Amino acid sequence: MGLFHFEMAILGQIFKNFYGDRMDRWSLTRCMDELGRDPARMWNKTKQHVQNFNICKDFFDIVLDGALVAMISFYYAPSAMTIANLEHHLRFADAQGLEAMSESLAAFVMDFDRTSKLSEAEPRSNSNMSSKPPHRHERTFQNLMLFIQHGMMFRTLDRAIREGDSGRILMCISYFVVWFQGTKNHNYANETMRLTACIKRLWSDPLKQFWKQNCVVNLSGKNAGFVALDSLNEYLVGEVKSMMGQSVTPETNERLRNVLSLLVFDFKDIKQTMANESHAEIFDFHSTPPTPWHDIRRIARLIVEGRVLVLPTGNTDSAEDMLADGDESLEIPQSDSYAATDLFVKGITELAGTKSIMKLKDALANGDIMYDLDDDEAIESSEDE
Amino acid sequence: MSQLNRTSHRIQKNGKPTYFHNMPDIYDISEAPEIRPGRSGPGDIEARLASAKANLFVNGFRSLLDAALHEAVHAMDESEFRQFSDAGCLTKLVETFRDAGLLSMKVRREICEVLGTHNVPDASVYHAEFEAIRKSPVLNRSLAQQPWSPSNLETFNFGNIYSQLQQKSPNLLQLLQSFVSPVDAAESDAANGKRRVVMALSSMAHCRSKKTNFVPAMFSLYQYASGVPERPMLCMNHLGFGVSRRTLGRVLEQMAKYARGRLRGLGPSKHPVIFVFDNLTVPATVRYARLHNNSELLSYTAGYALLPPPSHQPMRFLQRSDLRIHRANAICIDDFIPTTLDLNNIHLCLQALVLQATRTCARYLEIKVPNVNDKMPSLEPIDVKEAPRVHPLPTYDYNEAIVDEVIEILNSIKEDVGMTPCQAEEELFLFFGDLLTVQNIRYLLLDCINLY
Repeated sequence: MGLFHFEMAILGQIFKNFYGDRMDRWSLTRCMDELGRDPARMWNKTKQHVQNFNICKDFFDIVLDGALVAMISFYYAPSAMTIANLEHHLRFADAQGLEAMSESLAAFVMDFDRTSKLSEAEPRSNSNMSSKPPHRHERTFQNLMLFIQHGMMFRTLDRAIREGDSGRILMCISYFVVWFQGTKNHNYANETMRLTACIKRLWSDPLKQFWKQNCVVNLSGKNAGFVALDSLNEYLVGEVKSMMGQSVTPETNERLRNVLSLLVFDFKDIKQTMANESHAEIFDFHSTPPTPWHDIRRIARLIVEGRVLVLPTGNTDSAEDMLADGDESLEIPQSDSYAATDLFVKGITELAGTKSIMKLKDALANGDIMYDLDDDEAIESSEDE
Repeated sequence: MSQLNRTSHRIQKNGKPTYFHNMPDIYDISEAPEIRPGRSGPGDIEARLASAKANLFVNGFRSLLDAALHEAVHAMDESEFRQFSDAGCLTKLVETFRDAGLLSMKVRREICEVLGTHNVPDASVYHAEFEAIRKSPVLNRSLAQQPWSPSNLETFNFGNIYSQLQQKSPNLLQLLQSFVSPVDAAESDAANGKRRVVMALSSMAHCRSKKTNFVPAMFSLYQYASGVPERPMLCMNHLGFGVSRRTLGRVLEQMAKYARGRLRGLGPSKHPVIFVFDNLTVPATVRYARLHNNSELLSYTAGYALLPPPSHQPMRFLQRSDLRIHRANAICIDDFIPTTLDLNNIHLCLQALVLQATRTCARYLEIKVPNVNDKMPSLEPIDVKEAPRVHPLPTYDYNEAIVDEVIEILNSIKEDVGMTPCQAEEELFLFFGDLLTVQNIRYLLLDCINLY
């Protein structure tokens, strides 16, 4: 399984889980509306897959940054209705204070148990919460907290791939293997389980080490220049396509497949050599994207001014209290139309049923390594668009 | 004379002519007032020259130059001449004449003829040196007719080529180098000059013999790799900066031949290889529809073989020893739940992400925040210094979404990398791709190739 397609599948699930509606207090659709993005360019509602990975990833990064800025702002000034105070607090923050803030927020985000108690998706039998339906604002809070949790884990995986740290990649896989059990994407749920089983049980140490050293590749030599193997293949595919003439004949076709395809990386070397020799440092120039700060701030304001994010100081009841406090006077939309699933906790529940584990063991023991394909595979096609 | 005066004034700086800054003081005319008290600075040089000329005229000389000529012919003081020459004054004198447009073509030719009698190379020497260059291995390589080698890229180095050419043809290179020396010394760029000399010589050598095409072929390859359309490439060929389309085609064939050989060497190698492939779907339009040439959606499969860097190359993996299927029974739920160590590391990563977001926010707000460690923990980093080797596979005319065709793809890979049937049966290979690729391979039940 390639890690690039793995990332695509995760992003697809995040969009699926937090897509919502434009009238929600917080959802990805609401954020698209705020930022003037066209939902049709990002998410195919019918087929339930992302339309364009790069556009979706860029949008996701902005929304996550906006949510994090809102969280940081809320940490320093819980009662503030704007993020204007954030500048003041950051200006006078010391190193110890910043570390305490990050420690506190990270601990809150990765408190899977607390988040699960907030989540409607979870059966409440194990929870000490009452069985009363959640407060209408509680659901929005849950949705946002789950998005931040899932989003930060996705970003951790993305960074681990770019920085070429196979230990961190495996750490993220250990989270997502559970996470995928909570989705309906059975293909990736099975595949991640299978990979984990191979690495932890089935492969010899040299083979395991071989996978770790080669699951990502760095051809540029730059520190954060690693890419997944299947992502490199996408580059190759793109290069072959670009060499395809406008008019295809059997002759040009044959030449493309059996001559030019073999030379894609040689061409890359030739371009690099010529650039070096002519002292034209073109390979260090990248297009500079426009600043995302205005978009990030807009999302942060949506969250802070809408009082979506309330950081509970104690148990979930206090969070509810804080959320309920005085909200009636605000002209805010009703509760979100959707309830995001805490996929990690749901995945734990699925795994505890051991059905999927037994299925994997049977398949491996019988030498049959088949799993059924389902419609979620449709996400694969989006890369070509 | 007025021109000479203008030159003198132009180079004057801080009251002292800069041209003489590295010359003995005796040539520094600013010292003159001290020798002859009562005179002002060099500003009245015209008056001083007029006085000297008047004296010379009284003694029968027509001008200062006339006096200099007579001194050279009749009363040459060799040490004085050397001092004058070594200080650069003679060169400056000639340059000044040249800049003033006083050296006509006829005069230049006469000077060359005079100097030619003193072992300065004439045209025949340059011609012989150019031939030596043209026949030297550094330029006289036909990429279209010789097998391609990676050393072609390594030896494509303007500095090295220039050095080798200089050894073969010192006089010609000296002449050409003088042409590319910038007028303004401040803009001097030795590497730039060398590049232009090499390009000019290689272009001329290619014009003389089409087989001497190393540099033009490399240039054409660069253009082709950059996606330059054929028409501009044709123009560049006619201008001497590239080879013809047909020659380029032959060079590409040689490169592909080498690439195929490189691929075929992977099978016999004792080290493991990773295969990655994916579908390549593109609509193909045709201008002239034929029975076997219609517009259609092409579904190919493109991929590559990855050979890890030498320091990370274990021996090949075997199915019987590296895949321990019997341990499948030991798989339990604990294998799939993040460990305490994982959770601790996740916590550190999330903390780093919050700090990075804080720093990003502060940067946009133009606030300087205290320096805190916002790096994620480094668990098992992969060495960035050693890059693996990536060998593209041919693009297969098979659709990886169809299981039957996946069999053909795997058989083609097996053949292309030179894998023996025994290898395919016993060894273990890692395949990467999208989910469909990996699952479709698994449908084959490892009949011809074993994989995890």
